[in-house]
Amino acid sequence: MIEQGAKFFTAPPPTTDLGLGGIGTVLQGSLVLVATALAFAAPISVLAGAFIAFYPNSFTARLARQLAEVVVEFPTIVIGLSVFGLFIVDLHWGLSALTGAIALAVVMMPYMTIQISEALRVPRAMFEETLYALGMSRLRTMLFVMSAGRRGLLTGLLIGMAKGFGETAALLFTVTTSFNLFFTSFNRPVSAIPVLIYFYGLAPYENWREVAWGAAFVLTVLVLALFSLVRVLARGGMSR
Amino acid sequence: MNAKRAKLEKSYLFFLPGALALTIIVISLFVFLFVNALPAFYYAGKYVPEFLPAIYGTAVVTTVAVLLAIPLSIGLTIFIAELSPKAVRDVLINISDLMAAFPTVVYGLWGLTELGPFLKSTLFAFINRYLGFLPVFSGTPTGVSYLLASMVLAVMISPFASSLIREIYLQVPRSLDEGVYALGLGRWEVVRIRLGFIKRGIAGALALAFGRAVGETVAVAMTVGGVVAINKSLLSPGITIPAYIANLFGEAFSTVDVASFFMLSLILLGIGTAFLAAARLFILSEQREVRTYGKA
Amino acid sequence: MSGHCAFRIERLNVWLDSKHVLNDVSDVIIPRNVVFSIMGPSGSGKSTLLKTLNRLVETYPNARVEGKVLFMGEDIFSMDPVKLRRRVGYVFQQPNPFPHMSIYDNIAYPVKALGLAKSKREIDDIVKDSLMKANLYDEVKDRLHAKASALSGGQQQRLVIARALALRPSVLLMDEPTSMIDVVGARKIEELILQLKKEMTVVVATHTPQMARRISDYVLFLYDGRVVEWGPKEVMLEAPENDLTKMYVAGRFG
Repeated sequence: MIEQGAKFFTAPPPTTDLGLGGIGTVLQGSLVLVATALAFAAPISVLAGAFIAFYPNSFTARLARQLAEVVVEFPTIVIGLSVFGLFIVDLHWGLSALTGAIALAVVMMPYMTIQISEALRVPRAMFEETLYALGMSRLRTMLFVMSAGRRGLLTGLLIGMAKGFGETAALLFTVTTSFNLFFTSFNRPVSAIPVLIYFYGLAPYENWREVAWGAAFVLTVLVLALFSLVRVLARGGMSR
Repeated sequence: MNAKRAKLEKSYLFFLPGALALTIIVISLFVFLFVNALPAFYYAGKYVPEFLPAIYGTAVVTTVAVLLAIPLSIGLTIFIAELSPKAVRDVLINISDLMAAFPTVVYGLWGLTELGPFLKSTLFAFINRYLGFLPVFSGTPTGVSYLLASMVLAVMISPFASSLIREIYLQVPRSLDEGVYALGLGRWEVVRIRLGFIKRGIAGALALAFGRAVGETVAVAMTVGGVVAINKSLLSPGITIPAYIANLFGEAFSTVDVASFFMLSLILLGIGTAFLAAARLFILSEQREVRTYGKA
Repeated sequence: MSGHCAFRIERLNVWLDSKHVLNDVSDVIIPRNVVFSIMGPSGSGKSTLLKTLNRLVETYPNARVEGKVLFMGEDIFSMDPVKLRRRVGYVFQQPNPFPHMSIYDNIAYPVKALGLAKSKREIDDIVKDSLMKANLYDEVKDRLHAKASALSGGQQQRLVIARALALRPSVLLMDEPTSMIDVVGARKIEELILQLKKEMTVVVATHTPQMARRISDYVLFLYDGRVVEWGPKEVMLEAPENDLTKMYVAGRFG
């Protein structure tokens, strides 16, 4: 199904206007964005997910869960719009790698939180009582459960990452459309693979479209790799 | 364990910040949206007509997409649940889940560069030739259109809808099946009766798919054509709400019309949420029905 | 075909998931136009026996059946099971109409799907006829297109009976048809059974000797998958040979 331009682009050279370059800039950009977003989103998601799993009846947990479920269905462009509005306009930060990462983080968080809270339910049910009976404190118990459920946690994070790489709409306003820049520092704009695909795919130039396909191919491979990892984890995680 | 004391425990405090952070972020998101949209409400009369093509486009594209998704998702469900042998089944389910989570840009790209041109010269030309007298199919087919966007969208939401339907389908009580067999009917009739039984669940799954589809930006933006107008033919290009926001926000940014875009976002949210809520109702009443079946 | 009994069972053994559910059921003859009760405690294998008679047991994935069963002189295992089920109807313990369909459609659908009638006129007749035979017509004649789920339990069960009757079976198998129904509804169904035997053979599984006494002509006592004994009602219920039977009938267990 995926026909790509005959060229493979894994090379770092920057993209040019008429020739065929590489997708080095956006590849790097995506990596940076997702990594940063994960740095923000992962801790929050893990903590929140754990909180919901361990204290399902508390008001905060129920509220958080409801909110997460609502936001998870949000059109991501709205999220991008909001982040743009808040950070770029009101706070005058301007386009930067940071804003892009924040937008991605907001998109990833609700989903990962829900995944993680679900992933922890089973280990919790299995181990909690045993551990308390052994006299372990609550905190230790929870840490144990989390370590026992680490496969599920990892799965959640991986799927979040996959989403981060593929997410386009949220980044449309928070990331630059000039694709020639490599990443320098967090305050400078950066771009991402899916955004490239979007703009180059719509372009009238034939060679640009080919670049888009090449990028799509790379993205697909990336996402498939992540999902395969998830599959491998799932298989290994079946314990009696 | 005393609930109050539990609250002050180390572990509670350890995890709490995460949940709080999430909550705060989400709530501030909502607040921000509303606050920024407020100014636009005063001038609603001015903005709404401008947004009409987008609203129309969203309605059309999503509806057609869901209609197309009905046979696709039900067909897929039946294929997975009834027709495929065990080994194939898991593979299919995995592929289906994968498709549901795939980056949407790639779907858009495929639709734009592969499916679009292909359909333009084959199916769309066909429809235009024979059914062109209907206003809905008039005009020369172009490479991008409402219909193309609907088709791509349908392909995107079917795996998701199918997995939802599959779950419900497999929960149908066995006594219903046995009743059908006992009458001397065969497997297909069992399938038909089962599908009829879960009608509400199917409606719920589709409503859910609809709610998610309204917010789909990229794939639709790439295949619908970005033409801000209300075109009556499905074969001509148009625009949907998220695509509108995507394309035109850059320009509008310099003017003070920013608020209007937030209002548009709220409209989008409203539509999506309405359908999601409806979906939840459907599914709840469905569960009730399944649980009480057979109890006199 | 006259002169043949409804069913004749020899050396029947059935396993479900390697559990030996029916053990050497032999020398059982079910005559025509009678009410034949299969009586026994829960778990004795009554349902399985009934489901073997219409070959429904074979739809269970881990079922194994051995032995000989003759229906009207024909070996049921060399028949097409689908054809068998049209001549041998089945009513389940829990009423299982098609809840999302109307009362009318519950009967019309199988009739249409099986090609038993084509025109609307014919189908209308069959629906009315079946509902009358099941003693349900008067109660629902004004709302034939209401959903089946709106009926009471007893009414639903009679609808299921009507649905089975629409196929004009020569035998009706009923698996504890009244155990999930209220007393008044149950009474009506028992009256119905007595009426039906004029036109067909009725085989009823039940766990209460009282019910067997009320409706049957013949009784078979099934215990733990084995036939303890069977015979005419008077003999079985008043003066059975087997001690086990005596105890069961007297209500000493089960």
